[in-house]
Amino acid sequence: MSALPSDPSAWTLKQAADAVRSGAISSVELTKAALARIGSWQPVVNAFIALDAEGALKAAAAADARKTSGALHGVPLAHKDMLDRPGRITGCGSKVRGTHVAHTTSTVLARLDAAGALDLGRLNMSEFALGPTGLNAHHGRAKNPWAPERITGGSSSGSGAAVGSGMVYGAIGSDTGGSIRLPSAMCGIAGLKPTQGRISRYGAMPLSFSQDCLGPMAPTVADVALFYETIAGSDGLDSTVAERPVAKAAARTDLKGLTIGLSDAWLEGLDAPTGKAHEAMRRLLADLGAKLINVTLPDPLELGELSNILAMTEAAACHGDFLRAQPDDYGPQVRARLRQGAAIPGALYLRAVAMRAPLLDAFVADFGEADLLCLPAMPFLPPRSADVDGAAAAGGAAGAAAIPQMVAAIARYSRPISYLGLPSLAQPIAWDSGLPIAMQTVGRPFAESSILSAGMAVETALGFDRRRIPTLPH
Amino acid sequence: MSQELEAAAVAAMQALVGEAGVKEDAGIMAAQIERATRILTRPPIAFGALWDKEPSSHAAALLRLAPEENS
Repeated sequence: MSALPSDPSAWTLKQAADAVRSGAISSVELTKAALARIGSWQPVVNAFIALDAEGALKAAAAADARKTSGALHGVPLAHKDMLDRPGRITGCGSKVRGTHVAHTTSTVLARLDAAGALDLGRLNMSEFALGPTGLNAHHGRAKNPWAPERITGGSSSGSGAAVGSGMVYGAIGSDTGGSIRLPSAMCGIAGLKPTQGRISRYGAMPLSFSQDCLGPMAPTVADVALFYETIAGSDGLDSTVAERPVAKAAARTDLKGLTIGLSDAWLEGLDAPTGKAHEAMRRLLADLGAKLINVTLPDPLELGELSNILAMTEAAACHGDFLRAQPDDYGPQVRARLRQGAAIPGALYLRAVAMRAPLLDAFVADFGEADLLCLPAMPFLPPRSADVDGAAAAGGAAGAAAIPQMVAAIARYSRPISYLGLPSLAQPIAWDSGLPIAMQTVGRPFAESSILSAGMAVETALGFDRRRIPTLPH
Repeated sequence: MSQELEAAAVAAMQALVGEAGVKEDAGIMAAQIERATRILTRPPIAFGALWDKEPSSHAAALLRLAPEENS
């Protein structure tokens, strides 16, 4: 193992797990370091809704006392505020569910518990996971650790901020239209939206039954692979999870033998730094030995609109009772977005559902001989909150028009992949003016191991297999 | 469209998601209907191709299109 950084906050998830396993550090020492980091950074990024420091230290002491060692034994994590744990609030980043105490253990938390991971608390999120900026009318927005005036991306905003700032070594996020990939991209970390039906959603808050995915967010792609292999796979408590076994992602340092599809059309309209980073990435992919081909893909905005129809209609159905009973307990933007789903005729919704299979067939055919696609994760650098949340919050007709446009712009490249149900990995590929730029690698169905392996080769070549954490702003 | 139909459609929406804020949110709801209607022509789907497609057809397609080496 290469020499560890002296500050444990700069360790990757794998480094932290290896250090505890080898006895180089105790879980208590690692947890105390994480709590110290949280103490410094929580006032800056507002990542936590609830922190259980005392419980975490007790769990760490218990981990140190046990000889059993799971893959994440004694490593401090924290998760989006939408996963059930008995006796604990699952608040969904909301006022409406803000006092709801869970009675079950979500499958992903149960699997992390079995792997020995520690759970430090509940992380901030867009209210009900609805929104790509991280806006939250009740808890305040989480702030980007690289530039607090900028958005973290959402809806897994606290997960992005907590991992990006070095508070914890990983976090579960959820992704319905980009909510893992966008905050991963904007906070300079890696995140995986799995294939629809790869990871159990039992005990997790629903937003859109047909597109919701849970997935790992962590400092590096190698960390995400470890995390993913811990939580993925069939679950008797969730019949929507596929029975297919979970393949392990092999670490690789080149891309020889792989054919990668690129889309010139999907690079149009990127801002200058993002476009430049993707041009450089194409050269790197070729240098690593990949065969590059251009593929013709459908208009991302058309697929994105289909994703939005599914999400909003299903969310309106979920929230109908609460919207009728306590409308004033919703943030105004979230209430407006939920209400729009009620306006969609049922037959149009079902047409959008029925179109998924033929459009997936066509999209996979568009891969041609490509094993995977390398596409933008975002069209621009992380925007300032005032520029994207301010206009939409203005209210009235201008505000109503601004919300869908803002959402469609930020989620331009993520929503299409959610609609199709394909796996997608977001990872940083460059930094510009101190801000991260990411790509998403999209695979064929259930090809998570392939995109994770390719992502590891890219991050190693870029030197991003070492964790990068920010310094406190003055 | 007749006034009766408009009134019935609005009443159905209000029954589902409540009355409070409907006036304020009317703009976003109208925009959503307008955008959703575009899926009838974009992206193009062959005439009649959705005849036998029901929700599980997508999950089945994911399994059918998965490469063998990833299982």
